[in-house]
Amino acid sequence: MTSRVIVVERDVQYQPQQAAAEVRRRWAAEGTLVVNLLSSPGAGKTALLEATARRLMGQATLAVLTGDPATDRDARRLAPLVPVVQLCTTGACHLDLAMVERGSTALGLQPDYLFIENVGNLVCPASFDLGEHLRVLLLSTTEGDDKPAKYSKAFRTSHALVVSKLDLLPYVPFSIEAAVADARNIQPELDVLLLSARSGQGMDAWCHYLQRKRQALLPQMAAAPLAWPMEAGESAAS
Amino acid sequence: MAQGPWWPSQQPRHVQAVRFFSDDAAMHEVSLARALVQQVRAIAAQHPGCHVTEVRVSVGPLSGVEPALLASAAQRLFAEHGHPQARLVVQWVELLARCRCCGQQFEVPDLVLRCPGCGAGQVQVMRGDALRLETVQLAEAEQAGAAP
Ligand SMILES: Nc1nc2c(ncn2[C@@H]2O[C@H](COP(=O)(O)OP(=O)(O)OP(=O)(O)O)[C@@H](O)[C@H]2O)c(=O)[nH]1
Ligand SMILES: [Mg+2]
Ligand SMILES: [Zn+2]
Repeated sequence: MTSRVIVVERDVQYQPQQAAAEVRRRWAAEGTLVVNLLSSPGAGKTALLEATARRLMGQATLAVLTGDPATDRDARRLAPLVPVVQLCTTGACHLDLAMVERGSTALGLQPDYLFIENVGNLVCPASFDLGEHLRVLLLSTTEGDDKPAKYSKAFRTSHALVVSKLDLLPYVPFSIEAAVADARNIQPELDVLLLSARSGQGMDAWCHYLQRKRQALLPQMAAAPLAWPMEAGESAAS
Repeated sequence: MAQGPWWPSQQPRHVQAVRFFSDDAAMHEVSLARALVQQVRAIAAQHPGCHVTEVRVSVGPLSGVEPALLASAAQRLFAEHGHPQARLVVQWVELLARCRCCGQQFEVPDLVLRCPGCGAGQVQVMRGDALRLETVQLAEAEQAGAAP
């Protein structure tokens, strides 16, 4: 029997990644910084967004797409503060670009900052490019400092690590140095921020960080758009 | 400073929710398996009269793929989409990186993505961070029944 072998040697997600890169360019041209928030369930993504919305109210325009396997509870929490669309995945473990596109169409806005709260999960969301400019991973002090070494892909693909629930640090065995060292082994270029959405500690630095990232995005401020870790020449993009 | 919400007043007062069901939302190995099978079908479609006998993919430590879950999802999808003979071979590859500063290539057995030559942190992963479709093997359909 005659058979032949077709050599492909390409990332299976090549096409979705190209589509995400296009979406990223589109948002940048509209002046919207898109931030994808990743964390395990309950690390404080929604709490951080509530606190951020309160701080930036009147200074910048924000909107949120919030992903959960079930319920619209996070959207209800955020609705008094920001325009929000709940993305309900009916059990699925991550958001993908198509869901985000549906959500942003429903939103129908071009805010200064669009936050995407991913499904609480440190594994699956790491594999999906949502067209974001900034991927931020929240690690709360109550989760233990060993998580960067265990959930390496999520840390590798993130731009920033936010250590959250800093107010609880005195009560839990968590070494910021150990967590940051492990995270920077996997992603040496990771930015690190420490904060508590509850006490407000570190919130000013976080808001300034967002403002700096948005300014770097605006074409008149910088020639090159923000590099995305996987796009900056990782094998996925080649 | 502006008081109250900034967004247009025609924004609905109720909370908007978009709901996704299993056609659009899947566990992530299933999503990746769908992308894989779609690409293999596109290749098969370019070779009429052939059927797929073997599909080779590679995964590594930063692929974010559990090989057994991927294989079972892909195997089921191949059968559903008219390629029941397709056999999936998942090859494990170690992480390979290249320093953007000094150009050295190095394997990364310990997941420390720092250049062993110059110590730089600006390293590019060359292999082992994706689900990569390597090769697709096709056979002439009319000879499928004949002994190999
Ligand atoms: N002490 C303290 N508790 C916090 C802080 N941030 C969040 N929490 C609490 O942690 C719990 C989870 O917070 P959420 O904001 O719902 O976390 P989440 O990451 O959005 O959770 P999911 O969307 O379900 O994955 C809630 O009880 C919060 O009140 C913080 O900075 N300090
Ligand atoms: Mg939440
Ligand atoms: Zn080097």
